[in-house]
Amino acid sequence: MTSLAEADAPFRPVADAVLAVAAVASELGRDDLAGRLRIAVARLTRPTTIVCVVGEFKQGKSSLVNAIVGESICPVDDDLATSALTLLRYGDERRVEVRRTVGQESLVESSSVEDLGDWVSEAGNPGNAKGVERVDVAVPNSLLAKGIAFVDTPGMGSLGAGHAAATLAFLPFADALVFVSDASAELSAPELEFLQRARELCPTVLFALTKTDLHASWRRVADLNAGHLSHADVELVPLPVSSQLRTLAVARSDETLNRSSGFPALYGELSGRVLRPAKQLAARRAVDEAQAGATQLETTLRSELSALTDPEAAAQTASQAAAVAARLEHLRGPGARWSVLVGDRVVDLTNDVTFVFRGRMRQITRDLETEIENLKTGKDWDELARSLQTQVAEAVTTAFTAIAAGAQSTREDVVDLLAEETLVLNAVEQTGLPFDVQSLWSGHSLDPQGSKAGRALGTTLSGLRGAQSGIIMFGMMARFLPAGVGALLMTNPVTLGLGVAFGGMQIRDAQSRKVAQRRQQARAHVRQFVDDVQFEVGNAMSEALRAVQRSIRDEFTDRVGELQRTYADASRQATEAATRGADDAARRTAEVTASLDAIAAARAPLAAALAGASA
Amino acid sequence: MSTALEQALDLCDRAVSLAPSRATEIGVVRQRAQGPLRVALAGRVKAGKSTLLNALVGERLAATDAGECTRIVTWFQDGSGYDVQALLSDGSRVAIPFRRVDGALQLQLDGLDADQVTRLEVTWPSARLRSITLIDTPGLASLDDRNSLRTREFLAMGEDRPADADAVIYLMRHLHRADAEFLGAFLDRSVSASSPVNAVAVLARADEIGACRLDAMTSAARIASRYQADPVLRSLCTHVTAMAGLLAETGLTLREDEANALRTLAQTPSAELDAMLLSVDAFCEPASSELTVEMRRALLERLGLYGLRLVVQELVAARAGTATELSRVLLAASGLDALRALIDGHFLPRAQTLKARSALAALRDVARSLAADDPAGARALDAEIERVEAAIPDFAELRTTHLVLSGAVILSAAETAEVELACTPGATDSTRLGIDEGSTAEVRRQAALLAVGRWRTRASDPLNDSATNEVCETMARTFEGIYAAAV
Ligand SMILES: Nc1nc2c(ncn2[C@@H]2O[C@H](COP(=O)(O)OP(=O)(O)OP(=O)(O)O)[C@@H](O)[C@H]2O)c(=O)[nH]1
Ligand SMILES: Nc1nc2c(ncn2[C@@H]2O[C@H](COP(=O)(O)OP(=O)(O)OP(=O)(O)O)[C@@H](O)[C@H]2O)c(=O)[nH]1
Ligand SMILES: [Mg+2]
Ligand SMILES: [Mg+2]
Repeated sequence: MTSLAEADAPFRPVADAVLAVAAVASELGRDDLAGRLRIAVARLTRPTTIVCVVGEFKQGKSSLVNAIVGESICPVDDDLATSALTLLRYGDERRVEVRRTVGQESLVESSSVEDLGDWVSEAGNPGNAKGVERVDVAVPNSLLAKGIAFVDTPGMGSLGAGHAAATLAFLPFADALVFVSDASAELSAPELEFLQRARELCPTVLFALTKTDLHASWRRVADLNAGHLSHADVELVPLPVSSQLRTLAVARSDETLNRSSGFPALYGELSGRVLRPAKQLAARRAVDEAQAGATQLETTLRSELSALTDPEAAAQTASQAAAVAARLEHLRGPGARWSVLVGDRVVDLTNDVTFVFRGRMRQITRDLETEIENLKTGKDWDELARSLQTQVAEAVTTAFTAIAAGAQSTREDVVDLLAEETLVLNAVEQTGLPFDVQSLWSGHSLDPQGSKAGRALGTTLSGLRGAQSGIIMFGMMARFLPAGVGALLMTNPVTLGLGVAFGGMQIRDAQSRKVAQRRQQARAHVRQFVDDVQFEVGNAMSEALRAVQRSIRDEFTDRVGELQRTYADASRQATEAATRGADDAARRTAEVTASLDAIAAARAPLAAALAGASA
Repeated sequence: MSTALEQALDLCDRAVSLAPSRATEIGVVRQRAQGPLRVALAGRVKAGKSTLLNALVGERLAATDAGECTRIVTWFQDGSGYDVQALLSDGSRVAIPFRRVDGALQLQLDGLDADQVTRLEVTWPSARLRSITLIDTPGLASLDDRNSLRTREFLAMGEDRPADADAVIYLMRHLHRADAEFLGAFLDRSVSASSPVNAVAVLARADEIGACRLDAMTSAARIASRYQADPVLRSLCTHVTAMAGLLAETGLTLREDEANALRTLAQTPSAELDAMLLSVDAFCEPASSELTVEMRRALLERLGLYGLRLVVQELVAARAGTATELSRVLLAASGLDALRALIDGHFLPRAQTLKARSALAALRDVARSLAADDPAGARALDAEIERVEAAIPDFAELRTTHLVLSGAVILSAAETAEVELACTPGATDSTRLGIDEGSTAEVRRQAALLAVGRWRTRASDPLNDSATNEVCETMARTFEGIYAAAV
């Protein structure tokens, strides 16, 4: 078992090696490249992994989050507590942002940790009547600084319904899930069902068996649960923890108490199964970027060196490099093929996703209308409302996963298209200058296996995790879903009194006019609900798609810009080289050679560091 | 005029002549209607049903355990001798050997296949079981579907057959959707069978809801009253009370050796005692006390961490010392009195009506089964049941109370209070009219007449839905009855 601090150790050489390349880049005046490498290192030091804490209500989810970070942030209560999502992540200073919808308007308001209860708790915001979509809490906390963001969720299974469906919808965008169930009793049927479903959507699942300080038979319950899980083919081992003891241990700095809280084991799992894979991915990317950056630096220096050693060829080198730069200038513009491709693909994606989503919603409406015709009792209506919620949430998840996957494959196609450009560029230049453009894009690929494998990904979700887009998509989902859930809540049969009304009248006995009226009402509710959802989802999807398009364009425009600068520099240096006097040329040659040596030296440890981190 | 129960018993006698082939079944219905009220304890797995049952009886009759435990519906009834029998699905009975270990009843069920057993019947002489028979049920939402199924079958949920229980005490640990579903379904059936207010909810294991802190029970009581005011729960059952069944069970069965051990425990120096009471593991740490680890484990099981903290606090403050005093501390904290008051005030006064209702439902079942071989007899029996049901005012009042208290019919606060008073089972006519006790017949007549007029007017409001009309009509008839009685 590794502690969180030890877990950092293998990644430190990678960070150092990449920073060394960044230092050389700065020295050579390429702050753009250096900046990018420093960002990659920051991502390695603090990957933004998202860990959702879920479970039935009152199992101790919020207490667990507080105990993990060692600060009391999320509201805890004996009575129902959490009513809205809280995203807790690292920030240099405390900042609380409440995102909510009032009427048709989306608001972002700032608040404070002290007032968090006004927004996310049943006491301050009963049934989430304030329409809170998510509260972002940033705190300068040393554990969060490791790169995990926790999402505290409302408990599932309350009458407020919808929560389970909503939580499941988030899972494809979470890096891990901590399922919380307390030691007072073994897992119930709905809990196990949820776990089985969750496993399909999120491969990294931890199981925290909480409140071990309270329940004398926690060991029995842990064994029983392990038995149920293995019987259901869910490979999961309950991690017994006590948030209460952990909190006391922190307050008293008591190591023995800390051990008996079970938290060291939980940290071990978080570190080994959540942080480590995220860091390995980030390390691979950082090293790829460092290699590519170093190649660009070398490109400029080599072309200058060849001009210095062979002034005859200098003019030709300069013009070739200038030609490449000009070509790249064209690639930067909105008329470039790849840019047009991005636009087309996003339009296609919009059409596809909208078409599928609309179709699915129509299907759901049709199915439900048939079922309403056969409705017997109020209980059946309950069942129906719940299946409506689940089906709609699934349709929404599918839509957003399709957007994320579409963004991914568009990106891969851009990489391929630019690879063709590379061939064109290669034809332009004959100088033997290194010209490994491909490594630039694939170095940034979302999928560790590279672009070709990435395309096969279309239907799988694995590529979405740990990706930069993860947190964006998560935000999109978070922004949308609770609004949908709010609408779902309104159609909750109990709240409407519809279920009770049905229940009270035994449909088969009652006068048929009344029954027909109730059915009419039920159909109207379903249709209204589906319309509301379509409106909400429609907006959220267009926003997501615009964000996708913008992010791909920005990314590649920046990259082409960097490359262009490399060649423009190369051309300028070559021209200058030709005009230098002999002494000057000799001095410059020594300088350039020294720089190339420095790059080689900075580059040398990259591979070994990465191998160490991946082991 | 005879009571609802008397009329139901009469009906049984007439039913035998209408359906002689079903005499045995009808005999059973009649016998049950004369026996105690049958109250089932239901709830999700491990809600603490068996523990609470023991607390209500005051003896450790039902087995309790941290792992899923109750697998067979078990009846606990009063009798002159001690006897345990299993009723098998083929209708036969087998005697079950049993013994008592440390005061707890242990049944030898070896070789008995739970699927073959319809129910267990434990007959136990006990004053507490004289007026009600308590029924322990397997947990709902269990991972073992068959267990939940047994409870659902027993309570006849989703079936066209009357439930074997007249009323239910529903245990929940917070209102989970599954709980609301269950209560809704139970209610569904009850209302369709044209009645009652036969469910109360218990916020169970209340000591744990407040994380076993010393203020846990206060916190749980606050939550219970919030639920009681919650419209959703209110539409499902009318009362919610917080209760720590374990404290009540142990309070009623505390042994001298346990009291001794608790006193020894309280002697521990306070710093060490605090450390021990921090967690269950710390409590059982071998070195921290001279008590054996086995004894400490046993105490934990009997009292829970809250019970231990509470008892130790009282012992240290010298507010309690003897076993009797400790029992009193535990009982006072447990909330048992409030639950008993609910049973006494809510179920028992309606017992006759509830039993009559169950009997009518059971007879209807007999009529249904008769339809195949004697359609004419079945129709005649059905008509007779219908006639009796319509003639019993108690049913209409029970239903009215239910409609109003559940919020299905919404009246003004004054009207609601009037309904509650007028439908109070066993109350005097003056109380029901809301006038001074000992008012003269003339005063009662006047008051009743006014009320009849008021409700008739209210019934003619064109905006009423049919349920509201029903309530107004019932109220008018109720006051007519009071008027007639005062003439
Ligand atoms: N003793 C003890 N109490 C705990 C522990 N974890 C939670 N609790 C208590 O359990 C209760 C519920 O804790 P919360 O953290 O609010 O639970 P939750 O799952 O977030 O609840 P909801 O948000 O309402 O679903 C509170 O009374 C906590 O004090 C624990 O490890 N030990
Ligand atoms: N702290 C505490 N523990 C309780 C209370 N009531 C029951 N328990 C414990 O909870 C566990 C389950 O109690 P049972 O009475 O067997 O629960 P049940 O609902 O009958 O369980 P099943 O029959 O298996 O569904 C046992 O370990 C009890 O000691 C209570 O009020 N407080
Ligand atoms: Mg919470
Ligand atoms: Mg039990």
